[in-house]
Amino acid sequence: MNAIYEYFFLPLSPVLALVFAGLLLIVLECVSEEGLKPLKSTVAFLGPLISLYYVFQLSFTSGLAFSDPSSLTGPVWLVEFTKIYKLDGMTLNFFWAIDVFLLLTLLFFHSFYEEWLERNELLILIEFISVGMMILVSANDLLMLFLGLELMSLPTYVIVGFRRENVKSCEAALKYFLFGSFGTVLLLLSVAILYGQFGTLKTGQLQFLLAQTSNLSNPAVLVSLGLMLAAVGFKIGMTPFQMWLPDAYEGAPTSITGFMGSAVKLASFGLAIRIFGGVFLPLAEKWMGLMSWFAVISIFVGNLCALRQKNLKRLFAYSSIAHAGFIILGVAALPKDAQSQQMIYYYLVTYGMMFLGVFAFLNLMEQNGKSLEFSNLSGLGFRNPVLGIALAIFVFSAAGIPPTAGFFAKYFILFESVKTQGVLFAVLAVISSAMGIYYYLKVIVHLYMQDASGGSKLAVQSTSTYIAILICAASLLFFSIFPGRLGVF
Amino acid sequence: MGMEHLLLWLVTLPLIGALVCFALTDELSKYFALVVTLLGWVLAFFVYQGFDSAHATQLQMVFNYPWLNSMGVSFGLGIDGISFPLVILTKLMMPIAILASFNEKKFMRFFMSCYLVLDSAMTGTFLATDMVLFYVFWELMLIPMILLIGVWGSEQRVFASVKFFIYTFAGSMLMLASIFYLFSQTHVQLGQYTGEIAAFTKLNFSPVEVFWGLNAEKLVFLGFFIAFAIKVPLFPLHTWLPDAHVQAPTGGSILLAAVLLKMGTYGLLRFAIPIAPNAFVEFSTCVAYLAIIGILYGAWVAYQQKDMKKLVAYSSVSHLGFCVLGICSMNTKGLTGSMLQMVNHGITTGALFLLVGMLYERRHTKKFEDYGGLAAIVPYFSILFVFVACSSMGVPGLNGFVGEFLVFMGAFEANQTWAFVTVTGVVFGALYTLTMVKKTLFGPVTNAENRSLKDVTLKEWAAILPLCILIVYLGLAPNSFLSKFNQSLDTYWAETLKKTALDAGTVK
Repeated sequence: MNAIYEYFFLPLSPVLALVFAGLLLIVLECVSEEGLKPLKSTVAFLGPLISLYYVFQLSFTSGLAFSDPSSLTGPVWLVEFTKIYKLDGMTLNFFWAIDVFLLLTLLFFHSFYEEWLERNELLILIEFISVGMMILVSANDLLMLFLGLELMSLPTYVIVGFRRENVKSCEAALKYFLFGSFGTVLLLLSVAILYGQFGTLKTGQLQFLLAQTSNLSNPAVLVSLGLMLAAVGFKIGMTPFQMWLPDAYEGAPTSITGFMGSAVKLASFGLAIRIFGGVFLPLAEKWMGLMSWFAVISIFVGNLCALRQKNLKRLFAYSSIAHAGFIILGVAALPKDAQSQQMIYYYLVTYGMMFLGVFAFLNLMEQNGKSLEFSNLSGLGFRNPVLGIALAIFVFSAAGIPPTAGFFAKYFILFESVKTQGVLFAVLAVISSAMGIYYYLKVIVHLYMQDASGGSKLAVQSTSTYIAILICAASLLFFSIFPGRLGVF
Repeated sequence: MGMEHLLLWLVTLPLIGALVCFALTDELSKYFALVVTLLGWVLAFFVYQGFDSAHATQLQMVFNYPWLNSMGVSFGLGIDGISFPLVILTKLMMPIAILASFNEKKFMRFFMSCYLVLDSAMTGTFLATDMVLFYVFWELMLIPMILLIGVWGSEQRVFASVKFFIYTFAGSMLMLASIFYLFSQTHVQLGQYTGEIAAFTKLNFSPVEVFWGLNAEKLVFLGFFIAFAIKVPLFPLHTWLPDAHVQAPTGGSILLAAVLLKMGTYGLLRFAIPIAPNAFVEFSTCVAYLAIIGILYGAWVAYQQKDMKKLVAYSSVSHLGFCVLGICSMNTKGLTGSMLQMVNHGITTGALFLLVGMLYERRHTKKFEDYGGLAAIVPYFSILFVFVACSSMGVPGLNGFVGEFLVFMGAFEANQTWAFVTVTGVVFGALYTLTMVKKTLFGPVTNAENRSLKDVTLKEWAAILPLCILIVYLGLAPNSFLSKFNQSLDTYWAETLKKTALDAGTVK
């Protein structure tokens, strides 16, 4: 019994907490009494909070001993379980980030889902999306990985199309669904080829088998690698596969876009790290250069397309492609330097904070009946000084201007790139991202430099949204002064 | 309070002040900002007293806090003979810029916060002993500056602000690329990653040509050089300056001219030259030509201006050309002259912008045609204006003369043709400055509105008097200030050109 607690419940507790919260919400959903609403949101908040508690407990106590199953004595299924579920420092870091993003999203949803009273299933779906993410980043087995990916993706398709009466939302959901499932199919095919070749799905074993020289030039392996690159490319929005992203981000309800751009992106990169920093690590020579080029092209295309955007949501969608490019550059550095994982993590968390904050702000604009055009930002910096500064921090962080965390995130990634692949890609990335400065500056210009008269103040209906925005902005400054606090250095 | 925390306070005090300012009312915030910057004066005084002139070549009052350990980046602040005069200058100009902004109507507390953040960033840029920290402050400086120009500027402010930002940022990106290359080299050559500026100067470069016949050292030099040349601004990259100056509010113009431009020359002295000395020796003639073109072109264009601020802006291009020329002479006289010229230009041009700002505040125009004959209406103002103009022209006995003269001596030693050509720049300098004085102060009063003009107020006296005293003091006794840091100027070339093929005999 003790073994079951120690090797099953404890390591799985961050995931289980969310599963239980989700299940409890389903049960509560059956009771449609008005009085239950505060209870439902309490449960929704408690899930990630308890999960967060266990993440800390795990990192303090037995968390890392778990990754060594050799000493395990227990039922056979338990031993088998430890092989498909991998808990290491990185996983715990990702768990932490997923919980924090979920909490922040819930915080600024708070005002959003009040308007959708009859649709509490949003809470259920988002809890289960987080469960999927956690499984995805902790999977040590390709089948498990696939399960996690699907558990994450399917509810995401649903919440993207949440505004059923809105054509754009439906279009976004459909597009996201088609492209997303196409990516999943590619991933499945790639996994199937690997299984056909080697007869195993364990990442460790696959990595070991692929490292044998006879397998390095195996055409089936190369096909599998190509398919996987495309599949991961679809998920993270890498350039040749990024077409769905702007439409999906624009069409989704604003607060959900925030969640997609932060948490879902984080988990997708968790997938990329597990695949390219794990299974395909021995083939590094084959994909490193290619991926670096894709990364640079992503930065270029993302910034170029963002230059012409007039809608803020679309602008940040395109800019997210450019940001993904930077993170891919970090992924490409993984084979030669494992430390790159930490840089990717730092980028993902700070970028997620930025993205959540921006979309919380945009959500607020929408609630005030303003469309998300540049002109509606005019003079806001002075009518809402605190919110204005918060948005300015987000934008400067996105542009990578110190002293915001965005600068250090870019700096770390470029540092890794220089360290592992020389100066070429770093210089190309820097030049492509310099282009992006123009549209970020445009936001600042509208925020502060346009004629301030004639507009109206943004009314903040719910303090929780306000708090969420402030937390995001403060964390961007905090993590830039103390990067070590993200468990990175 | 230990000496090592002195520099930390120098950087953080304005930052804390900026946060407090934001929470105050508009009326209170400006007095608070003034108090904070005057405290900056006090701290600067302690720095001035505590600075050991016998060891000016070494970093002093070092504050070091390990920041990103695995990358060897630290939060390091220190002061030596190169940064010393510029830090003092920064702190000196801050309260004056704040005083000049007292009558602003729009979003006062935000305005004051911007000034204080700018103060902190400028000080940090000069004090940083770590490359990454330097870059952080360098970029941080941009944010308040674009806001100062873009929010509180004149009609074309947004255009000027965006232009300023894009120019500087493009330069920064090139610099960042150079920094990355150097960073990777520290690992290869020194065995560990480090961001320490002193370590960067120890690096050697491979002579392999990468492209267009440029080797790594030249590319690194160009990366830094373009970034700093934009900031100086050197001739073909100067076009942002007139726009930024004309559109910026008075206080912003003062700081832009007095401090921000010096960052370019400081960067050349601190980074570009010591890190890539061979490349500098090779390019120094080209840079000198650019500087000379800048001197003449800036002066000639200034002469053609109809707008006072634009005239002063172009005169800055001309004056900063002297600074760069002094550096390119590669001798101690030139360098000393260049350093003095940096400080003097800061004080004089700051005072000029202050005076132009006074007129603008009263009449809301900077065009010469709207003025004329002011000498009879506002005598005190006219005296100040003529006095500062004399300093700007380089009249002996005032500060402007000392720096320019030393630059000439340095240039003469390096290349006589340079010296002869640049002397004409001084003639032009007198021409445009006197034209400005003539058109505004003398002749008949052409515009009836000017008859009711008020003379210098008490607040304005408070702002301009310290500058006037310094103009005389530095003109008559430059050595009392120079002796604080001239040791590092004397040994500068011998130190930096060690790695080059030039033998020690040619370097004086």
